[in-house]
Amino acid sequence: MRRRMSGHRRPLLALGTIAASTLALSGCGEEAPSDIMFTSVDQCVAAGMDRQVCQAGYQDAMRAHLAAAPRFNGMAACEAEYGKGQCTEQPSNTVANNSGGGGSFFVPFLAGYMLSSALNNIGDYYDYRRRQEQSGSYYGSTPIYRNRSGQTVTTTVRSGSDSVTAPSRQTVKPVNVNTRTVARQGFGGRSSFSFGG
Amino acid sequence: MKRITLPARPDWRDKARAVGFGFHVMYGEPYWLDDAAYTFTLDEIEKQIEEPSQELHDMCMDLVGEIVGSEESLDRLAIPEDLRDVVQRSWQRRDRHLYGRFDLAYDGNGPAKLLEYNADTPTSVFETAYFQFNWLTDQIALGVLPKDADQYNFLQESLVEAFDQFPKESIFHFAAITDNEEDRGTTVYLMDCAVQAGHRVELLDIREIGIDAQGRYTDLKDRVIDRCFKLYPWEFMLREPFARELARSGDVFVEPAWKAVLSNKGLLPLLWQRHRNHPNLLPSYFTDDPAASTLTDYVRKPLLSREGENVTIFRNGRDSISAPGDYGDEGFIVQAYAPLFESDTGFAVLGSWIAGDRACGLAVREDRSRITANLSRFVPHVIMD
Repeated sequence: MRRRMSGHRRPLLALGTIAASTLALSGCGEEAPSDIMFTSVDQCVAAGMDRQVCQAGYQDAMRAHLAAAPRFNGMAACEAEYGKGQCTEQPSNTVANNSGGGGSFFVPFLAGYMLSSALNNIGDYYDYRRRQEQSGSYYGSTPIYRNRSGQTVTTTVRSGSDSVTAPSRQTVKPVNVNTRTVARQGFGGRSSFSFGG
Repeated sequence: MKRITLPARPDWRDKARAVGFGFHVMYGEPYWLDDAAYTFTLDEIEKQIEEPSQELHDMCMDLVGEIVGSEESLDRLAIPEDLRDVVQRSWQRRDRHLYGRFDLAYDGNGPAKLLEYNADTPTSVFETAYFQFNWLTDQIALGVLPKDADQYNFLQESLVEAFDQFPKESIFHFAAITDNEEDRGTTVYLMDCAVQAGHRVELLDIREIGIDAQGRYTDLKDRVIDRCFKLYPWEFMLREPFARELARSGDVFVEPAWKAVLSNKGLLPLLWQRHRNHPNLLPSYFTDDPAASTLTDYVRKPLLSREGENVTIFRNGRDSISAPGDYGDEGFIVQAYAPLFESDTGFAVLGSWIAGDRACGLAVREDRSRITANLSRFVPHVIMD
């Protein structure tokens, strides 16, 4: 039998007290919203994000992709970077503000787009895009590409890393998604001294 | 097993205050006793409490699948029909559970007898795991107890280990009726264990839980609740307005919905049917079972009841003592009477803890009445051969 012998460490309280209020615990409950990659609007919706956010994010990522995707003069050069069958020819007249006349170039396929898990609704998304624009990146959601070794990469300069890990299907569900509460007090209706036993 | 008195720690009230243990006095009555203890031999602890508790838990876990797979059993336990899916699916998914406490009748003679399994919302966990152990080490340091005095208590580390098994990506929410000091203290203690296991935690009142348009549970910051400990019984939750959202979000809560079948007194006759004459079980029957009339000294308990409410003890077939309450609508069971440990100060019930799936600690509560209720006192225990 394993017991706590007297030489054993005393139990400790990480929070120091059991009289804690929500306030005292807020430091532990602080949420850092994470960036999540989605491969499609449907996957974004299925993961619990707001549909309008998913759609706007996709459109912005596509806009950013058309304007700023990594460009190559030849298919071979593009495939050397992004892998065989992972590039497409893009007529230059599809690109806004294209300075270079006719012809076409080669770009990798858009593998997905990245959104913050903290985006609750389309208003949040527009705020987020405005903040991004102020910080110098001109599009809201970030286009994601997959390089030849399968890593996800982005061309948008972001603080920190320029590579994100695409979640597997199982972990695509974002955590503690922001939403809008429509009703409360549906539990806890019984009044009693105490519910413990 | 003996009851002893000894000098209280001179500064125990300061120590209680320092850790926020305000409910050492409850409803004007002392709840924590610092100047008394129950003593056990190592053999009593190992052979009569720890091993049987582990076996009882394993028996219960074996029985859950059978119960949730049988409409007849679910009828017996009065699980609401429209929510049986929630209970069944939580078991099929093997939704993880955290802890439970067996109440045992034991007086030092013969095997301990299972009175019930508080598998859903057990309390006295802080008193057992934290304050009781500090009492032991303080009393040893003061020379009041011998150096080799011990305690059957690895509850806190077992809870931390059990919390460690839950995924940590999401915030682990904790919900209780927060204006009840005891429930809030118990819940915050469990949050502390979760923090020690590496979780981010947040406390909210169970009444503050919301839902969004998609039927997901939400917190006060309008975030979806992905996992939530609740110190609030399933038998209430299953009958409340938000229960309809459980079909979608049923995997959120800890304890999981399948605990509704273990924290139900109907478990006792079902265990007896399957393990008749097991040394740690008392003969138990649903009241409409003809065999129920074979008992002359017995206790009638509502299927759902807390704090001893609506429990009646019958001696020689006659009603001898009963406790008031608001339970009983769902039906009753009868269970053979088992004597509790008795001393000048009253009657003692053993609380034997399971965390994860491991028997790991002991709490003793005593009461002046044979029916242990909310006003019973917590008395620390010590192993001394």
